[in-house]
Amino acid sequence: MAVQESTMAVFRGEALRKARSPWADAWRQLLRNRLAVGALAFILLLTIVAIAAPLIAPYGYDETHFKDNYARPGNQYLLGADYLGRDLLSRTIYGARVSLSVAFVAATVSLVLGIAYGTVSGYLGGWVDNLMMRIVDFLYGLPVLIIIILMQVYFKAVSRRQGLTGIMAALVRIDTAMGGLFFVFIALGLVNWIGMARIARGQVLSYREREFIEAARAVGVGSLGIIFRHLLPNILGPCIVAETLAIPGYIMTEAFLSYIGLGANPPTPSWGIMINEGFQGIRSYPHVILVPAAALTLTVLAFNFLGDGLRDAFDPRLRQ
Amino acid sequence: MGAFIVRRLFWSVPVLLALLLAVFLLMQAVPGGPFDFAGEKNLPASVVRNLERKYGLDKPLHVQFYNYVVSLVLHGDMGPSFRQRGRTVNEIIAESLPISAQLGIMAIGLALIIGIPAGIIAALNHNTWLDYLASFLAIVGVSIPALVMGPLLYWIFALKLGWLPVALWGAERPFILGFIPIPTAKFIRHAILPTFALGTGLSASIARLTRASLLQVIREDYIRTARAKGLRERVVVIRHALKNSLIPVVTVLGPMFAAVVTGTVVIEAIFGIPGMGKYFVQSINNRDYPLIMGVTLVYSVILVLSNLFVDIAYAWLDPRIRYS
Repeated sequence: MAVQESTMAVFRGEALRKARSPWADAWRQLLRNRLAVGALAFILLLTIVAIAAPLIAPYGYDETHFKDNYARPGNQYLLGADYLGRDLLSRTIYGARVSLSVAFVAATVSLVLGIAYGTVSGYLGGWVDNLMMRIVDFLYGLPVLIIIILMQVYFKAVSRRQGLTGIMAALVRIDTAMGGLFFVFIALGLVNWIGMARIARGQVLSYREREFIEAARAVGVGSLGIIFRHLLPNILGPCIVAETLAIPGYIMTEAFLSYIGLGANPPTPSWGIMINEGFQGIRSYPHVILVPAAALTLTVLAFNFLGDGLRDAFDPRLRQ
Repeated sequence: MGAFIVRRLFWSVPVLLALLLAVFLLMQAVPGGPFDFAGEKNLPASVVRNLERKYGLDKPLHVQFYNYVVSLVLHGDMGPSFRQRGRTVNEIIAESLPISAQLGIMAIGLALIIGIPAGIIAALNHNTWLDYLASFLAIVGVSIPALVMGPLLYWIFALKLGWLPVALWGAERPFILGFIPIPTAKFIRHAILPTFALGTGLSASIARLTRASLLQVIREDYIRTARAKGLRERVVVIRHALKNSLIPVVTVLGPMFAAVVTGTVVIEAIFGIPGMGKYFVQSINNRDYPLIMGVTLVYSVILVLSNLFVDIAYAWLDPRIRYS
């Protein structure tokens, strides 16, 4: 009797363990990775700081104090001031808004577009799949740097034009309100969904012929039902992992575009613009470049740690 | 293999043409033209029209593109630069590409020399402190953008310590085979900082790839066979596992090579290197159409060729891969 009960208990435990969803499993695995948890905490903290920037930042990001230009770190300016006497700490805090919004928006756009395209392509199969993937292959071969610079120059030139009407005028208004970031989102999104489409398609192909899909089809579930209820939940994990691993690239691209003057419009405090401004005076005032450079590196590092952690958490082969 | 190479090269021609056409159309869609500004002043409309007629910009787009392709294919002529008057795109690229290539090849060399051994050491000491240290350093390495690495090295070694020159490129012409510089002390001193600024990030990503790939290969059956034969661990790793595990590394080397050999905008700007990188931005800002096309063409050709080398390297690294 006792033996039987303990056996039952074991089976019950087994059942419970099986009942845990892959998501919960991955989450538990992620929590065991201290670096990834630290990175996640850092990103959450940075997000809070970015949202609450007006409450936390001691000065406004475009507030100039010309008599204090290049002020050293001290009581008045905790991390010093730049060539226009703008507080570096405040600008770095507001700069977090730029980098984080690029990270989240570009990632979301590329995830949604890529998954939609890849899922349709993989699910339909046949000549549609063939055609859609040849288009992706071609886009993949385009020189990304040139395309993204061309797009940004295009957007910048269009927004300087007078007398725009219709959709373009509305887009330019949005972009101006966002300090030039809206078009960075569009350019990054348009370029980066391609890789995600390939990953999503590969995932769909690997699930499409499985028994549970066949079973769903057999009981009369339609295509949309199969895609949304059965395929998407399964392919979402690997896609999110791949997308997280791509985020450092988005942040660095935005910083690069802003550095060469094709990203955020001054005085929007992008870390890339701040690094450019700091580099001009690096000989005499190295503290000006130090702050945005450290912020950029730490943020990229955090997303890399998180991405690595997520990848390990979703990869069952790495579990003991 | 020969047939494979010929077929690949043959098929790359329409692909390159399509890429050029895409960039051509995008570039024409950007508002503004190459002759909008001459120095400070706007040119009179009549002058602009005459210039446009001289360079054939008044013709329909398909005629312009056709003319460009014809003179490119027949004469290898990429046209005149619209901004640097009196200079051709061929001259500009012949002058700047070798310098970018020198820096890029050295950076990739550095990346391989550091990255592959670091990845091997990490993988062979899986889950020990050595592995954790190497993996940590590698992730830090990939996280430092060139925007940060460049100024950092510049500030420490050129400004603070004064060990190395702050700017310019020390290679002197003529170059051997058109791009190999004579390794003078001046050249080496000027090359160290930009090479490290560019190469550390690359070496970190190569180390990560090598480690991950080697860890997978080492679990395969043929490695167990090699061990069972009684081969020494060193031989198993170097002769049997390493070659196979380099496939993902070689895969990224193709695009990586094309990207750094044609010039990196940031590193060349920071260290004042007269390479090709700046033209990626400048040509587009200036609407210098032939230069935009030239830069695109050079980049795309190098990408096609390096990806072909990647495919050839696959067959050498993994004999199971056969091309017919």
